[in-house]
Amino acid sequence: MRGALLIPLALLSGLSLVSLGVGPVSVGQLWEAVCGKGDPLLAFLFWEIRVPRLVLAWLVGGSLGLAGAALQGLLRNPLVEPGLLGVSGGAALGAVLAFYSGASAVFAYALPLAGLAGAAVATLLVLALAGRGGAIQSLILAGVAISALCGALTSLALNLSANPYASLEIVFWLLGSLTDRTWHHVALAAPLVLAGAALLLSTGNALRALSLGEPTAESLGYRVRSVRLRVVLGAALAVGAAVSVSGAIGFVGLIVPHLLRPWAGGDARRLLGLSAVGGALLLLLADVLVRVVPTTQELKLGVVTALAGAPVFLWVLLHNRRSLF
Amino acid sequence: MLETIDLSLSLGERLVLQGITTTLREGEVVGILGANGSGKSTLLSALAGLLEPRGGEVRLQGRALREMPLRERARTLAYLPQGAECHWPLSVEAVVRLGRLPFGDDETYLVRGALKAVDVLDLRERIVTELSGGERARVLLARALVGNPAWLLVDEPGAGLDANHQLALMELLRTRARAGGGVVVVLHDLGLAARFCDRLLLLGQGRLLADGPPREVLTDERLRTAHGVAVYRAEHEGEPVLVPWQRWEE
Repeated sequence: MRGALLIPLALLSGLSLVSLGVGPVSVGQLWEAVCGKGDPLLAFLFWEIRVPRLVLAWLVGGSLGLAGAALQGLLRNPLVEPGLLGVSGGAALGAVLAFYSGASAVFAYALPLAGLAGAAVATLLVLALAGRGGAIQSLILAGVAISALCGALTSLALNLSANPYASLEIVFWLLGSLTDRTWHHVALAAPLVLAGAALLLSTGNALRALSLGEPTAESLGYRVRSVRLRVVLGAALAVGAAVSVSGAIGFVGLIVPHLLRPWAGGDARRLLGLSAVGGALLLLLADVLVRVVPTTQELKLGVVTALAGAPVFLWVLLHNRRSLF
Repeated sequence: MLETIDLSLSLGERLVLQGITTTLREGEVVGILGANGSGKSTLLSALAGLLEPRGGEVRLQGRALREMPLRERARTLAYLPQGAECHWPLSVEAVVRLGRLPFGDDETYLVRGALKAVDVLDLRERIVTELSGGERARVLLARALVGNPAWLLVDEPGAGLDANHQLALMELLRTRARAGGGVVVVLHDLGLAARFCDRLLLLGQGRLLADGPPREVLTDERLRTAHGVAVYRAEHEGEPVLVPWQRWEE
């Protein structure tokens, strides 16, 4: 039952690998190429473009879903998403500065590296602003403030950009995409995403205890301050690394835990694993849509997740409202 | 044995408790009384080891509570805060299972036993956020009971309960104490305190005004100064009846 989400994930993963989109290719031809006996171009497309793109979809979607679930559990608020902590905003600003300074044109990985640096600075600032006592309220307020500041600075960079093409490139990057990513991007993001995910998953039982509020969680033997730090750092690592390679992708971290919560029976620990798989599934679905929907300009991932996410979110809201009144 | 030695505690800059020294023993229902803002809930949190004292210390079986491993403390001592809530739509049974977290198991028979003890076994599959306030309060009490703790510390557990369940609750606390358990309860109801507690701690402005059996603590003069009320007294079936009768203004 709990593993049921893995089935559509596996099917969709298979579909995204097989549908190569370079003219009619039979499964037999593809299989030969994959095994190294067939067309080398086909093999290259498969191993160097499709597989890393799929792995990145898992990593980015999984990070967003998992971090969203952990943050909602920590703050006990279903409207929280990873962007709230300023991590996504910081990563976006870092990447934009790499564009703006021209570093991204000189060195291909300047973009994700600057994104990581931006995410790290934003997280440290939020933690410092929230203070050592770090009440939940101050954490949220600090996150909102840093997000707003990053957003303003990103707009400023766009505003002052002398080259309209550079501005366009920045805007497109901000919309999020997995196109043209390589194993280097996977290698850059994967260790940080996995470390972040491990930190987040380690808080499962503490988040369960936190369903009953902080004093009860403390009395059940959990140090709320340390749980808070693990969740914030875990989310920053996973989401910062994800956003740095994919660009900003909204709604996944908000909506996935929200949709899966009834399935987890409200259990915060079960929701972590479910949301990681659900996030990967949703992002992969969006990435498949991006490729199959015929448009003249490439559809961006963040656009698709927001376009699909907003109505679903509204539906959940209306559904809940009916049950409340 | 749960003891405080010259305990003082501040919340922010404000000194909330000062110079509290007392020794609580298993086998007694200990009530903490006092007007609003007298430091009752703060004292209970400190007894649960949740607040860092500004001075003095809390000791459990002779050991400093703040130095005890968290898991061991959680297994020995259950704490139910005032107005406790559940933030997610969990089932009643799932909420009570959270009380087994310090033990790393969720034995169904223990969970069912705790639900039965507070008369909510029928509700076990219901969603806790959809229950009435009184039913929810009982479910959360079951969560505290499910670890069968040596010490049970509860903050106004009777708030929101109907008369029948208030009496059932006080009888349950008394039964636990008679069986050798430690029970500390913050109360507002002077009548319940007079009848069911073996010992009372009366707080006023963060200080311990009186500490002893109800008949010694609940004197007219103390109730006038600490609570600002005059009371009506009687006896029924050999037990004291105490009803706050009118406000007392000097």
